[in-house]
Amino acid sequence: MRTGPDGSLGVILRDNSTLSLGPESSFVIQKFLFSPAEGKLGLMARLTKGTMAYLSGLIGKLAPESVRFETPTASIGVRGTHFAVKTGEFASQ
Amino acid sequence: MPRRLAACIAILLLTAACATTPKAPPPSGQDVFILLPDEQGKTGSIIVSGAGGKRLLSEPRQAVTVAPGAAPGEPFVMPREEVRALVGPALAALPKPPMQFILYFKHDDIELTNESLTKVQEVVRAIRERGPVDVSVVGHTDTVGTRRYNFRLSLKRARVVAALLTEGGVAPSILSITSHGEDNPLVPTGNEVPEPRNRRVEVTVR
Repeated sequence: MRTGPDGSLGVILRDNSTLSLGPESSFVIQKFLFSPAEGKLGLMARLTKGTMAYLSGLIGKLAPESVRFETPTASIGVRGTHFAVKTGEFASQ
Repeated sequence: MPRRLAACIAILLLTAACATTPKAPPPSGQDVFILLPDEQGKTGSIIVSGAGGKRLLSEPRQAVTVAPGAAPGEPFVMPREEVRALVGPALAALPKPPMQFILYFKHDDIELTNESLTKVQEVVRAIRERGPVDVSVVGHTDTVGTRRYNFRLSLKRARVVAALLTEGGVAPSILSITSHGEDNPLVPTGNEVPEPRNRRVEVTVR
């Protein structure tokens, strides 16, 4: 997912996680697994540029250890929560 | 580092950060991570791991910056205005979490129970308040009767609810109507089991 200079974007995933991007952002969902009946749960995503916000859904509630976000400098492990990230943009401009 | 110890350190550093004036925006090249309270005011926690170090954030608006190839810096509480300046548009674009309503029907009938009929107004209100882009209306039955019959019955139920929502002023274009028949019970039962909780229409507002 990418947004332009005036763009923003909001997404609701099937587990009711919500996430959004601010302007000039680039974001990839690498893995999304949601089959609670089979115990298959996971969310892995990477913000390479720009800003994002996330509010956890069922995966964050049922299996927080399977939620992982990455940026160019760090990774985030989530314990059922709401957060925002801004990358230091220099890399891709 | 054990998590409990990390939490203590984060809180100590937080106290130190509060005593100083807010910093200028982080230098270019650094990523900024901000923990935020949810709509109910509850704050979870996140662990930010960089090269050779990790930090636990567990306080509202607690933030940390990470430079390429470095360990995360000292967590600090970011003033509201600075949060808005850094990530305001992303926060404004965050969709509200979906809301779900369940409306129940009388046995082998397309008539809502009295209680659920009253609840329809609540659903209409919620849809109006959220200004949503998508409302799914999914019909279900219990397992009495054939699969084929129940598929049709639950489709009729979904249409009844959709019509009530439309009467209440909801635009038909945002409604999607689906029928699951007896295949997706709320309460799993054997075949030919009357179960009031499975005679329902689920409305999800996104």
